[in-house]
Amino acid sequence: MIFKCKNCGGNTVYSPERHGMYCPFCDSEGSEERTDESLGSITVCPNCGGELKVEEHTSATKCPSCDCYLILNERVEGEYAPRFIIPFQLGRETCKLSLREKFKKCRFAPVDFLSEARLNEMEGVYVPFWFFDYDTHWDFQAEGTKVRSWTSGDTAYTETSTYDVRRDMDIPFRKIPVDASEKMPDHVMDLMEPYQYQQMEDFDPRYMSGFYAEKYNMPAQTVEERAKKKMTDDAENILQGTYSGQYNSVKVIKKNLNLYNSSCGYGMLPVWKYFYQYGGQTYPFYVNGQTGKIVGNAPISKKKVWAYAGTVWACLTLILVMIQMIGRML
Amino acid sequence: MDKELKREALRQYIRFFRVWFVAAGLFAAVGIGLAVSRNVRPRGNEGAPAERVYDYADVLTDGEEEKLRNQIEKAQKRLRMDIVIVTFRESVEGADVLGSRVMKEYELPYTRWEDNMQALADDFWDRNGYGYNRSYEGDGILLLHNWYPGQNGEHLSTSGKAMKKLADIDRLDEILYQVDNYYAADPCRAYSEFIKEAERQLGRTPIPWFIVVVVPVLIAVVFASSCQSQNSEKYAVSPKAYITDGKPVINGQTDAFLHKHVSSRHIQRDSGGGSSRGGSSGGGSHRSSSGASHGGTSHRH
Repeated sequence: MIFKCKNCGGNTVYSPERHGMYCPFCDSEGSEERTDESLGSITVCPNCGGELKVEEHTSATKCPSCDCYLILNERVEGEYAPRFIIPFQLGRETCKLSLREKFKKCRFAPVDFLSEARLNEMEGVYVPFWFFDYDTHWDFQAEGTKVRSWTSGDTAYTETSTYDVRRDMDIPFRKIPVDASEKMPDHVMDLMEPYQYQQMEDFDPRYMSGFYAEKYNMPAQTVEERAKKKMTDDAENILQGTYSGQYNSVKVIKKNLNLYNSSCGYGMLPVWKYFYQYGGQTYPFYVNGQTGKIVGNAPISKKKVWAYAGTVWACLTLILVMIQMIGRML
Repeated sequence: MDKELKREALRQYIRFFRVWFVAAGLFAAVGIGLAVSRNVRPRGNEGAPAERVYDYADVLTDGEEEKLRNQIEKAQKRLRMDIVIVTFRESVEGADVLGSRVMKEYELPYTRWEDNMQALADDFWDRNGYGYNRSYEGDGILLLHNWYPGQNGEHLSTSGKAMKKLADIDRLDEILYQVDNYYAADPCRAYSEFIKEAERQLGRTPIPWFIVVVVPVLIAVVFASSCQSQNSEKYAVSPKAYITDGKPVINGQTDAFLHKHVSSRHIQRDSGGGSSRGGSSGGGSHRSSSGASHGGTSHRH
């Protein structure tokens, strides 16, 4: 499907800044009209007939010939229909600004690292995620000891008090996110968290216009282990939070985390992707399209390091030698 | 495009180092300015005698005197300070001062050897009007060596800039040790070593040279490595982020006291001792009979 402007026929896109559909050709807002024409093959652009490079899991892309953003119906409908989406809240310009802000201290990054031309290569991508719900229950019992010492005269006293520690609580986890894309590195997607679910909405393909997207390509069962790991880690942390700091030592007697209900749903989360090529290497940067959190390390130009450190050395040496000269003369 | 990037790189470089460049430039300007003005400026005190070696004790041959004069001339040019050596052989202490010419001529009022040696050295300097830049309180040092039997020893008198630079008694001693070490065997060598050591002490730079070499390298290395470190994003999701209403439902939480146990232990105490350290004091500056300010110290053998 393509969203076209009723007024001028141009390709309308979702604008994070305006929180709505927008036609960049005639500046109209909310003038979109969905067209579902197809030329029979998904590798042919329905707008211009040009050839499309569609990868196995691509669900939204841009036609390289007519720059038109396309959404592939069969990959956002039926079994691939997402239930939720957090629409991009961060536009390209805002994202550029936050990248520049974050890396402005990286003096040794190559000069064009944050140049306008390079940053324009950034792509906004909706990443497929599975969201897991778990209802859990802690049944915990332990023996906690508190130790107190004091000195009186020539005698040191140590008092050890023992307590019976019991915790019984329900922890209902909702929407633990795990990415369902083989292409996206898992640890990076974990670092993209947290997303603010208040801005999560029911899926609407309109939000995809103007961005790239993938359908899920890892089934929920495959990625569930990661969700369970997050769930048990969080549950463990919460449990420990209820007694840590109160006791000098805790001896566990009984500790059971029961999972009595689970379900999962499919949704899309926004990520800006910037791949910077330098010295034959790719430096990937991922920016949370909602919160602006940035993951990625800036490349370092060896030439720049030498030039800057060399200048520091030269200036300092000159200053010290001058101090020596002046000191000797005065 | 490539050219534009290079220009941008240069712009960033200059902007980053502008303070550094200004500071280095200032220091260089001051240093070079001083050096130039120093070399252009003539010796200020033309009235002082040309003689630098007075061998009244006659312990040096004429050739040796000449050699020392040459050495002094070179050192003076480099340091821009006067260096004077005086040897004599007269009593300045005890009963036999009655026959002493210098006691009368210089009207030395003291009874102690050290006091009279100091007064004599200072007065010799003042009366002759030594001092590189100006007479009397100008820059320079004078070595006075008394060869009188039983009173052998020397006094080093400093004036002007030399007095400031040699305010530390250890440095004065260091210079006089050269005389102490060699005078008995070879007076000429003793004075020659004295000039060398004086040159070394007076030509000292404020910072040891190895620091000048090492510190900039260290700072450059620290700078290079500090600018490379980037704080990577951490997994910063609260454990309660994915819980409904942000907190667990607590059905039961008890911390019931069971029992306590107290143990005691006797503490062994040692009585401690103290130690005391002695101190040392250095010498300060003083005024000569003519009112000029001098520094210095004596070594008696």
